[in-house]
Amino acid sequence: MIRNIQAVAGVVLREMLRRKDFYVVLVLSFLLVGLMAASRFFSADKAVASLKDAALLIIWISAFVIAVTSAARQIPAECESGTIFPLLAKPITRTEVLLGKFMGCWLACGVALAVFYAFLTIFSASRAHTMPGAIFFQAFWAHWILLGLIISLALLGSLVFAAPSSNTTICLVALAGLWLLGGHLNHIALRMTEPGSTLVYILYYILPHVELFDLRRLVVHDYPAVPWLMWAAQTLYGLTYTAALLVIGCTLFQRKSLR
Amino acid sequence: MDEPIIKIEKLRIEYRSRELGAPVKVAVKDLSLEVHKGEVFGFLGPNGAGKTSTMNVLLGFLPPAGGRASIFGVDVRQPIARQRIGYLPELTYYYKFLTAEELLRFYGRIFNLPQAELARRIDAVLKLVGLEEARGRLIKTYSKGMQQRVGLAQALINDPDLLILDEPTSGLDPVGRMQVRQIIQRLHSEGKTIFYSSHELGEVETVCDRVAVMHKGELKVQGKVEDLIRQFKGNLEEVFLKAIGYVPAENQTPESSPANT
Amino acid sequence: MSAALLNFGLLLTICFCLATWVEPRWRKYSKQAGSPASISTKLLGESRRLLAGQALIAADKYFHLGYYPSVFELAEKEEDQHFQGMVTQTNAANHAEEKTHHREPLDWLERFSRHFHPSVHVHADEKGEAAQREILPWLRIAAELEPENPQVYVLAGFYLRTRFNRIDDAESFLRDGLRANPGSPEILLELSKLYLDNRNDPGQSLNLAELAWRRWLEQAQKTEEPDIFLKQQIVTQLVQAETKLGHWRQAIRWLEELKKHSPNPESVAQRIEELRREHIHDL
Repeated sequence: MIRNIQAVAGVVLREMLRRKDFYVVLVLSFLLVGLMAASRFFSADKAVASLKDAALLIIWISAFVIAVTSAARQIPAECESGTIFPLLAKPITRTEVLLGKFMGCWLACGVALAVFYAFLTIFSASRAHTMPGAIFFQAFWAHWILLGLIISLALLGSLVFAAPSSNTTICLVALAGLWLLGGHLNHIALRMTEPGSTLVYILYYILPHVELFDLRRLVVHDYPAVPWLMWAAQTLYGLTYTAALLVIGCTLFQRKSLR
Repeated sequence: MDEPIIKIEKLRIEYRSRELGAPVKVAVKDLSLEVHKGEVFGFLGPNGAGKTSTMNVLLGFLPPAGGRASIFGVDVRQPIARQRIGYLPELTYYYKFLTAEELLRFYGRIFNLPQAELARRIDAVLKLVGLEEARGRLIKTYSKGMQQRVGLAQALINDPDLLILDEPTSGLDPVGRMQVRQIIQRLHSEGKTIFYSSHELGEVETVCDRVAVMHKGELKVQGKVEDLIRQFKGNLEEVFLKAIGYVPAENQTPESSPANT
Repeated sequence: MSAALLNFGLLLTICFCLATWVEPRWRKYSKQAGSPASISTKLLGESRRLLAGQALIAADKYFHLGYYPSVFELAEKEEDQHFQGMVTQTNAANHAEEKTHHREPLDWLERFSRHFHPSVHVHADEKGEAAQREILPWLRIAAELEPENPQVYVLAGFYLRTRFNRIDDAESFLRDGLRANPGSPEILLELSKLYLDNRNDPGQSLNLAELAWRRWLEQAQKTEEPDIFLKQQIVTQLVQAETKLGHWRQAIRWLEELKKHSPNPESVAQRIEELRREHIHDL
């Protein structure tokens, strides 16, 4: 099983590395950050936090776009181009195909993230003249775990929605909603009457909390690292949701008509 | 007698519409047939006869609504049933962003071929299909004929004991068709079993040992090619037309017109 | 070929003539329309004010080192007053600092989430100059987007002169603010403080404070609710400038004015008495 998943993941990685849009997003992001770094405010060439903040926002948006667009088109592209047929004619299950797609997208996003965060770390260290702390690694890790969750969501969406474009739009909108509002649903529930309050509170617990993985403010303002036990719990939280979404996706894919 | 390579028993395939109240479409009803080791078996029928649906079940793309099918004694729903088969689809469905070599390496990994063995197999099949020169080029730069040959190469990468070919000469020029026929005959002489679907009846008559003719989801006739020719007193095309009940327009009576069959 | 070149040359000439004719008329129109030349106004129109507000909030977030309540938490009264205070109160060090979060988490998930973002109320003052410097780019952006808001210039001027010792930059920025907001009493007051505290020029400081006072009176006559807090600040500055110059009578007069709206009139009265006692011969 592992071998088949690795094989499919390898093909996905190759595809993403050979697609130009992957590099376009990377290069654009670097350009934007570089331009901002070159500008001066009050000759404040030491205004590191603002630049880190802007750079991290660009990284987050770029990573979301890469993750959702690449995951959303995996299965539909296979079905549309027909490559799914010679693939499934081999001794490989649909579950292995889906997991392979997930691993490929996740690893590719991890590579892109590693490049982004390495650039950010070097840039930050050069401006602030101090070595960045463990919080940088924790931010990168949390972001990568979140991307796994997002990729699994987009893959599930690709099995439900007809077109990759509609799946992409819905995933991005849902993501934005979760990011901005998901963590505040309990406050919203408090201000509602029953039964709405209970329903919203149930949603609050069921929906994945994206803000748990957003360590940007800690990085920007040079906070110390999150306690490692909490970091482990955060990882477990993300992986649990990812696994749940993948299980649902595999079940749907088993039943999906390919023609 | 040896266990048949392909065994289909009372196979039933249905397609359900998503619309509420829409009737179930039966694509194949009560199909039973066997393909034995070393045979070249021709699977014939007009468009919509149920050939592709049957192949989809054999390849595990579609679950049967009734009956069972097995390959090498293993139920077709098990992935291991496909360990020793090679499939050539009708249309060229391969990853355009890969080279021929990368594609074959990918499929070879799924078959769990050892690295050295895989490298040897890749060289052998690329030589067999005449794509050695183009092995490092992306598939999207290939012509139609070259893509068809890539298809044949990936179907042979695991040195399969059973080949399932869906219109293998479709879209090829006469030279390409001759080359494919030669490859099939060579594989036959090596003892491979070939399950072959085609509309080129002249080709089928030359290559196949046994044939089965499907029409409207039912098996109309099956048997050795020479036996059927003798029985129906005509060439394979006439056997085909008589089996599906086709009557030329000039010979149609009100009872035998297509509307009444 | 030569015909094409001639046509091209003719078109170029026509374009040049049109440009020389249109340009002075466009410049005149721009001035009459009152539209400033900034790119942000041309691109964004009035929505730039929204962005300017966001830039100020960003500055506030940086002042609080990333700790910032959500809109739901801001609805709670105590949070609201504090977090809107940064914009209007330039002396951030006067805020009472609280080390613990204002509110207990509602559930275990919220408690868990507080490990992953700043959840302790802290000010940039505690972290040193580097942390406070981060506020400046956002103030600059806010000023660029909404030059009609004098508070931005006052805040930036305050930080530049008190935290970073960049007096020239502070004065330059405040004067930019005065050009965008002619006669703004807030900016004039901040300039007055700059001259008194940083340039040690009480004379110029007094001139500016008096100008601020006159502008404040003009504004107060036009509105039903004059800004008493600003008035008290101006008057306090006048007291300090007059005291520095040894103008005791005028200093006492300003203290009398200050006493009218002071929350602690007894201490102001006490100060007046002290001045009278100490400088009885100069009055």
